[in-house]
Amino acid sequence: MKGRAPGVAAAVPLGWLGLFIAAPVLLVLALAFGTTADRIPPIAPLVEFVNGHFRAHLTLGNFAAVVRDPLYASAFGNALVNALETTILCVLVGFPIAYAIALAPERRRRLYVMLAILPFWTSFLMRAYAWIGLTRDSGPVNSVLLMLGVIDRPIHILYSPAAVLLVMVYSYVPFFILPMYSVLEKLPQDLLEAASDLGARPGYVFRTVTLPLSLPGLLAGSLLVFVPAIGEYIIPDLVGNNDTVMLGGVLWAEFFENRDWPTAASIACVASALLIVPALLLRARITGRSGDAA
Amino acid sequence: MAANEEWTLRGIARVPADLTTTGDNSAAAAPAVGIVDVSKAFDGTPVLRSVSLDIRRGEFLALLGGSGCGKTTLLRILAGLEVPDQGSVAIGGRDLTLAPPYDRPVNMMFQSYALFPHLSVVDNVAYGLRAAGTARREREELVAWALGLVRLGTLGHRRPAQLSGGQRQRVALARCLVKKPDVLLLDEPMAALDRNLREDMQRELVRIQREIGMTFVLVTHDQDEAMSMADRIAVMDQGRIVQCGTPAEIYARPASRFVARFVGRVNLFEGRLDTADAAGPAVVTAAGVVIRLAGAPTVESGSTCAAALRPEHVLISETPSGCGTDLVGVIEDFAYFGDTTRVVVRLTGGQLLEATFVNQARARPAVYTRGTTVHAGFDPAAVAVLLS
Repeated sequence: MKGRAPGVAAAVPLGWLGLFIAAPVLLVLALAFGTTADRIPPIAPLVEFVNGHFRAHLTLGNFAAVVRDPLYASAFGNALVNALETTILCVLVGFPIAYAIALAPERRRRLYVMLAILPFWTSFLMRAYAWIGLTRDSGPVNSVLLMLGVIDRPIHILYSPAAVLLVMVYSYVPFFILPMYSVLEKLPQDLLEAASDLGARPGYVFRTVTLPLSLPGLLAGSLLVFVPAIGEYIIPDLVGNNDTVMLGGVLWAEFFENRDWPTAASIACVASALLIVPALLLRARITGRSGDAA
Repeated sequence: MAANEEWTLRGIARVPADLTTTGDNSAAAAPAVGIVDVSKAFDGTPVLRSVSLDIRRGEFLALLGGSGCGKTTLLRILAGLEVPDQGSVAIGGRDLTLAPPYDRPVNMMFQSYALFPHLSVVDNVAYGLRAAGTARREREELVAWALGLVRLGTLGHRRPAQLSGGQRQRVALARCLVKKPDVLLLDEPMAALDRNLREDMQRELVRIQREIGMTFVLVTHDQDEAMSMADRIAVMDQGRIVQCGTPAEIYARPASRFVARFVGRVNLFEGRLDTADAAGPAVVTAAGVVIRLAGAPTVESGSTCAAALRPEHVLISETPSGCGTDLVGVIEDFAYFGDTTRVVVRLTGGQLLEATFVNQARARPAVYTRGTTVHAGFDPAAVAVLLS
């Protein structure tokens, strides 16, 4: 009884992970080795039972094609650049907001946090469409700028990389603010006072105490923005121009338009590998360092 | 003395230029800290009420009081972490009332120690020197000096999480000392230590303070700590300094009932002053108990006052004691502490009197059993008259 209880308790999260994380990943991985077929689903069976033998139909050709075709490389590159820019802007916009909330009087903080996540109460698509209305040539942004005489004629924001970045940052910044705020809020006040007492001016305190101690929140927030941003499909599709191909768009096209599941799956696998390996290396370095400290 | 000379040689002398040029006398004349008429309120609740205090150079001063008396707020005002609503604070003769914490020749040791968890011991200690841009060689020398002073020379590479409570406290101390401030502020530094370690650290702090001759200001709620460490004690109550003096002055001549009760144990006899009696001045309680005095305070006969008597000045005996005042009562309770015994006597008239004495023999004297009628005698000179 006593010995079995932990096993049962562990079965729930393990089952969850297996069902919703491991199984889909393995499925995609398997698909990547398959070949297309004119049927539903549009893929040839990976393993066949013919004349009393199992016969596998596995190929590395999809990977070869994906790696060789510069379209995919540039789609990945564009997505990477877009996600990096989004992450950097989210840090630049989100850090001051998180810091300001953390410095606010305690009874106000809850309100400010709620305001920061308030956009989540509306459908994401609605908000993305709202940006189309806001940023188009005859939209309110251009109207106000024209009225104020800042510009002579409407600037084309919509359907440009700038629009993509704008909506990306708008959509993802709450994901950065929340973990950042929760770390900054717990930053021990006496450490900041001690630094100041030891002769450090506010800028030096920020650099040497606030920033290093809030690094976990900064990393967590950045990952929460960067990882989904790299596969973002809807925002570039809605407000971007069609010249800049991105990972999400390519995946969509291969999967739904070309109905080429193996290629789509191998793109997904290669992209994931390109992201996960550096992430694991980084993690190993960080845990290695903190293990040394503990 | 050698340590003092070395200190000025190392060149972190923070005495203002105008004072150094006029010679030692005038520099010594300015107190290390001059607090004038400082008041502070938080959200309309007064925490400090017109506090004035001079702290002398090189002295070890304790701010003693219960929680909420304002002692920590006063310390934080000295550190620049709070700004007083009114009044001024001068440090080394310079008015620094509004100076930010990083512009003061003062360092504070926090109750929590406030060590930087992401820095090693050496980097914690070096923090203030780095912030000041001290050159590397000098910085390393100073850090080694400070770590040596607190006897932590070999743990420099560790992180605070790898240290014991006592070691952390030493790091916190070294981190302040390394800046060689004019005044070192200590906020309840022993609060987190267990009893034995606390006494070791008390002695250690006093040793260090003597060795380097720095001005120390200690905030504590522990009267024993204040008594054993400080040159002078400022007793605080409800945002005011109610008495400031040497431990002996505070204990032997408390200025008020509050001080008498807060520092040590005391028997208070509330009554009226009688200077008309031919037998000499006395305090007479409502129950008619007469406490003889060695001298009368300069107030009218008949004024309300209290006679304060320390328990160790009471002599308990079965026969009349022959002391100036001899009261009769019944032993109500006693407590044996090993080194001392405390006896509580119910006096004729109903008041309780506490007496303590050192146990000089191994066995407890048979006289101290409940219900025994005894004489409690004491010398009039042992009695202090309290008017407030």
